[in-house]
Amino acid sequence: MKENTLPKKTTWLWLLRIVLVTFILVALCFYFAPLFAPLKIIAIVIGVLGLFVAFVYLPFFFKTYKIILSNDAVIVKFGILIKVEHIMPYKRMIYAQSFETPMARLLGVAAVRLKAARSYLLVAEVEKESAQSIIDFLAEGESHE
Amino acid sequence: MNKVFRAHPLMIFNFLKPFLFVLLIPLVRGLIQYAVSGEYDSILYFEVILLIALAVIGFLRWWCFKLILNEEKHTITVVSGLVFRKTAKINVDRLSSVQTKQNPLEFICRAVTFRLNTEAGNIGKADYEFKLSVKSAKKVSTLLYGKGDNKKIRFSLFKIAVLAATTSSAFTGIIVGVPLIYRAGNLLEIAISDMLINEINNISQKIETYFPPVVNAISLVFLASYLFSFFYSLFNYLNFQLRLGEDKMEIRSGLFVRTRTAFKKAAINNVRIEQSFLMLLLRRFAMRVSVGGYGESKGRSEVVIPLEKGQEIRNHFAEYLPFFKCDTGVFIKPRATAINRSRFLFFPTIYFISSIILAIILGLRFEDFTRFTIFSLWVVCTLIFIHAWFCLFECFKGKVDFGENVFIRSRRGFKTCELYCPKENVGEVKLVRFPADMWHHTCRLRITVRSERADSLCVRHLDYETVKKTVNEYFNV
Repeated sequence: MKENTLPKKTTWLWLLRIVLVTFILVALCFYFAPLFAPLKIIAIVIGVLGLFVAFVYLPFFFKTYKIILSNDAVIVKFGILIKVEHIMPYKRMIYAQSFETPMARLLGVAAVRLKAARSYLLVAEVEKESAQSIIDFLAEGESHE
Repeated sequence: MNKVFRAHPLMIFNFLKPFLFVLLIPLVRGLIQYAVSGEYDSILYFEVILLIALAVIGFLRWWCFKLILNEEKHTITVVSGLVFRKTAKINVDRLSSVQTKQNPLEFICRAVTFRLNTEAGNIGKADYEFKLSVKSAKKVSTLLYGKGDNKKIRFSLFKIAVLAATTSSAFTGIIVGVPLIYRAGNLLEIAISDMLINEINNISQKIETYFPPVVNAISLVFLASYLFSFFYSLFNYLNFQLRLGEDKMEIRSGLFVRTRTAFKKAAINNVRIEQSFLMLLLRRFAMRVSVGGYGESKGRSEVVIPLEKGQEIRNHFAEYLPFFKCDTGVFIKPRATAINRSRFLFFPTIYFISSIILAIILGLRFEDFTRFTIFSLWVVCTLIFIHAWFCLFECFKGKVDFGENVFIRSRRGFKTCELYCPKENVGEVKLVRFPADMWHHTCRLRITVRSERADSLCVRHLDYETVKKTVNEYFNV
């Protein structure tokens, strides 16, 4: 059984993403505020919420994130308020796919999507090498059986 | 060892396709205007720059696409995306089918559309679709499924035509034909649809029958739609060829758009031997297979044998797919009692009586439409009698066998059907009992295959206790 946690880079990546989205939304709200006054209040609420999620919630959330490669299945556990445990047996998995956005590429991480019939399991960004080794392990494992 | 394949340059146009009509037509119009009058709009500059930018993005996306085959590890890797980079690694054993399609433009450019299908694909969409050169496509197919000495089986034009006739319908013709006529009319700026309606009106008024002209018009529309659908299917099935390898099957068809589908025999979910009403008149059957995750749409399966006599098709079945055979010989059949047999004709009788009563009411209420009512009754009664025949087929020929594979024979709408499916592919077994079934101690047994198509078949009025006991023993419930 192999247990993996997410690297620090993933937290940074999501922090950047959320701060960026928050900034864009707040900027838009302020830009259109002269047309509709309550937008200023909405911008403040979005800003506070965004910063809370980015700097308080996310670090704790990613600390709970665990990827377990057991003998029979891939198990992904995460959640603070709502605990989620996603199990995908190897037998049900059809193929694995890695996914990189430009920002993730800069930080050297990639997300992994494990595809099964009619469902999929999304593993948050891990180091590129780890993503590749997960994909190789899952795709080639079958031919070694 | 890794073998890397690049996509065919025609794929650049695929990336540009969504923007072509929006950009290219105004651009061409602007350029023609400039060539003729020497004048141009300021927007022309913007269009040229946008088209060049899109072409560059298309080129880069094509450049980033790679298909890597690893023979030793038996894996296929697809790398795609310029900004959002995707890398998928698929074990070859997990592929449901590989499909190649070639339209006339691709034929000229020596390219094919290559589709990789797995069970994980979305409905109506292949997992991966890209363009490869013919040479690369052949190499990839050989690497995936091996060269092998494939046995080629061709079928006569008559068999293909009957297959096309049985898979065509007037509704398909309307669905495919009407938008086509509308678009052609818009493009040529001719009112083709109005011309057609006028022509149909003229012809229907010239034909002198007992029935009113509206009946002739409706019949003509349906006949024309059916013919359109028939020719559409015929062109899709022309050149139909079955290639049999040791553990794979390949089906080729199409005249203008050539399709080639290859899959491992192990990927077949279930086999169906079907007989439509037209085939019933010709005393012939067709064999189809359903492959997991395969197809452009949810409801599609692959025809393996288009038309053959009953005994011949069973011989082919035993030869091509011996592991699907069901030979326990212990069948569960509908009870052979007079009351039980009459129950199979319950619904056709109800439909028949209702139609007669409704026709009488309509005839008395709308006297001016009597001839139209008689025509409608005639059509409905014909359909009811065909339905009754299929109900009788279910009564006398319907049966289920739970052996190494599950076998079930019954009717499916206006078709007879035999379904063969391995035990592990059975998705659901459903026993349904209506009040009449409880009274007669019978039940309906429906078996659904665990696959994307989820084929199912039902036999009615089987002995409940026998079915329950057999199913419990079979599935260790």
